Amino acid sequence: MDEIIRTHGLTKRYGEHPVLQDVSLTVRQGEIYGFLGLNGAGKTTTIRMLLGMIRPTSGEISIRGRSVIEAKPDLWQHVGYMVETPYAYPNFTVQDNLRMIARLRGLPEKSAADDVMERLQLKRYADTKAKHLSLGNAQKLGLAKAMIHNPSVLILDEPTNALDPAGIVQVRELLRSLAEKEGVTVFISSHILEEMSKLASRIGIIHGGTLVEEISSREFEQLRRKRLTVDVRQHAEAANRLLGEAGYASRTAATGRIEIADDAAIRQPETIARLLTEAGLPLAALTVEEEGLESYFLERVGAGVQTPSEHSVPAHLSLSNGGIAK
Amino acid sequence: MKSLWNAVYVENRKLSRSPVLWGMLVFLLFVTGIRSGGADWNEHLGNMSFLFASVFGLMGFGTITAWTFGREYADRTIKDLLALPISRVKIVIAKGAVIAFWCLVATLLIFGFSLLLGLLIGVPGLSSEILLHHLGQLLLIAVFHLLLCSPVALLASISRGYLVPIAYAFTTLMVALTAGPTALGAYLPWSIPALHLSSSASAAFPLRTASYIVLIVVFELGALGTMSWWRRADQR
Repeated sequence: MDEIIRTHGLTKRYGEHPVLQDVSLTVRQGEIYGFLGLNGAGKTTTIRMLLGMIRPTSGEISIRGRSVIEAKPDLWQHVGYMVETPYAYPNFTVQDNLRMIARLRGLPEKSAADDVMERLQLKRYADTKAKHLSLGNAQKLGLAKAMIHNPSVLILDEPTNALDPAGIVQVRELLRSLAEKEGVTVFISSHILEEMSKLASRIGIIHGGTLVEEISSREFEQLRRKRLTVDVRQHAEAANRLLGEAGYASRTAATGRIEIADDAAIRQPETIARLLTEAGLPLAALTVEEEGLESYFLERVGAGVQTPSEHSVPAHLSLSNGGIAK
Repeated sequence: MKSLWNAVYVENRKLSRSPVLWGMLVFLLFVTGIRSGGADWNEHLGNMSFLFASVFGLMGFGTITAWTFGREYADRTIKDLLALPISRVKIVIAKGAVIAFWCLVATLLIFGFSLLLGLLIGVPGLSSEILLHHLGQLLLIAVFHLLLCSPVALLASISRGYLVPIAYAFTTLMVALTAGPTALGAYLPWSIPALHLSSSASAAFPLRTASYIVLIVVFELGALGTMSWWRRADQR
């Protein structure tokens, strides 16, 4: 696949203060690249640099094989973008705002504006002044401005902010469809982890101006740590000993529950259940816990807050069904 | 060329529908009305030209320029103009062209309004020579003031808004009014239009060439500075 967006050693300093350090990434054609980071991590600075709005202190940026720093304006014919909260001319209607952008991009005003309003379901707000739009619809107007010329590259900064759940699904489907059916390359920044995991085909995690990790969404799923937790009431010590003798690495957590990180135990929790019940230990709960996206992310960026999402299966229910599965 | 025309078209749409343009025009017409009248048409139109040379140009044109550039930052729409298939320099030129157009339209409207008021209140001694003479003077002064607008555009871009450039326009007005009558006045860009008008009975360009060169230098510094800022400065 072609490299559509590429940065190499991208660095930005304001005086002595580094904002971005040595960021190298590539986004291939038809890929949806999720750029994850906390507020102030350097997402928007990177996006502004991709769009030629900020000059790098050092490093290279290219889009479609052309250097952004030296690019002629026609490069932007292929790029649609939305940076931070989208704004529009407040006293102009949605339609007028779109028509002005269409004109600036050399498109037929009316048909381009009508088409994009149709795609983003903005038709009913065509004659609403931008200053009277809800946050969600203002966001859609921003997306409409980015998509009005059917670009082959979309660079979007937190595009689902302020959208309602229906709007989020709509935008997600639209972006996915553009990438899959039309080969549009999407670079999308966000701090909404679940959204990224649902949408992006590859994810880059940025923290403190440094690209901490770059992985595919499949790897992202695999990397999320899982563990089996067992509640045996006051018999944790005996259970730990038993599990140790059976070859499992277990430990007692602060909650009093036993945690087992072995893949075999996670894949076949019924083996653990059988082992404990046959030894006469009371099995109150058996749970496969998956590390939450948040905790995975926070661990990567060094914030270290544990917020596991649980996929619990009550032991008694699962046992009565003849086994326990996640 | 087509892209420049598209930019001019859009900038014109934005400015022509701006309440600042029409509000400013109403204000200028109101002040023109207050200062109307005189013993003859020379005095009547001279009053209007003097107002234009001393106050209207610096304040009116300055405010329109500050708004045209500063609103993009205040409305946070500037980022929509920075990665387009039109160069940023063309956007700046388009804004400049539209400002010049509407400032000249405002000048002609003020002249027409003054003419109408003179006719209504019966100022005596109207002739086509007087009319053309004052119209020519007024347009020349308007061009001088337009030359002085480019630093306003630069300040709006650097300060990312319209408050600083409007404050600058008012400051230049004060400087022109206080320092204009001194020996320095002929070389002080903001007092040159009024000095030019007050001495124009003797010659078409009564001031020394250096005075007019000052205006051109100020324009070039402001225009090149604005274009350079839009092209090269980090747009955070």
